[in-house]
Amino acid sequence: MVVLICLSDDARAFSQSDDMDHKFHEQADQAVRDVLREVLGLDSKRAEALRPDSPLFGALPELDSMAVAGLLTELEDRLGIVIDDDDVDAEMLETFGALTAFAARKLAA
Amino acid sequence: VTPITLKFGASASRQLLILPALFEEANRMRRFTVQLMRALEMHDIGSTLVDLPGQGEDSNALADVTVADWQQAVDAVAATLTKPLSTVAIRGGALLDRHSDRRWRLAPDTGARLLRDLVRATAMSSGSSASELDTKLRMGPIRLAGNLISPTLYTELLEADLKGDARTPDLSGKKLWRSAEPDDDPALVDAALADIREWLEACGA
Repeated sequence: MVVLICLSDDARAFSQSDDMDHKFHEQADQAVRDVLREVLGLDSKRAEALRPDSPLFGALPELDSMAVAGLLTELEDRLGIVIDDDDVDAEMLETFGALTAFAARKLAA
Repeated sequence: VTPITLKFGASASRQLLILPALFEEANRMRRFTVQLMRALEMHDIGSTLVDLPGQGEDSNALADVTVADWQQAVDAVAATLTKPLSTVAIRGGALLDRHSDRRWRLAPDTGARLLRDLVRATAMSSGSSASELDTKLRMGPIRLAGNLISPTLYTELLEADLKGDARTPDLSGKKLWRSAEPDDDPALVDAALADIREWLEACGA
């Protein structure tokens, strides 16, 4: 009996944390799309068409380092997160999916 | 030396002093700023934009410029306008409106936050870390995202806070100061114009 209760508690805890991860991911996804639209002047259609593997920094010529700096500041403001300068590297900026996953991790932290 | 200025509506009864955005944002906001000044003139509101030392058309080297020089330039132009002094500050321009009687600010920010963007951008393109750059910036002039900044300007800006009461509307429109490519937004100009007119009416000007 005790075991059963424990199991169901564990299962509930797991599904709650799964829900939270999903929520953070959705929130990060929308914020990254919005900020890219602002910084790059993308129209809504192009911003909505971004996929996890869509390349960002390095592939988009308009996304220079100054634009990336502004993009990170905007993400911080929108999501209420703090991005440590040491966290910023080419990998997290490589694709839309990588940047979204990074922002979602910061939200969960 | 008298600062270079751009004037619209010199004969209008109401006059505003416009304080431009700083560094790269000055370029991004130049078009918006001039569009706003033209729109104000259509409503019989004159305005004067200061070119800060080391920025825009001004011939001083930015490396020799301090915040005190910027403030002095602003004060010199302010002295040519009738009191009470009403200022419209764009972004970091709000760090220079402390001697103003009535303040309107578009998306103001502290010196530390403005520098953070420049340091981050430089860290990404140079391979130095942000903390390494901070150390170097305190020792001698360093080029940050294209701007040669002296230790004096750097430390002054780190401390530079927004002072005094101001009207800071949350206008809907593009955040042009973040835009990677030169852009404009007539809706933001209209929103700013409407809010400035309302502010001037409320001030009884």
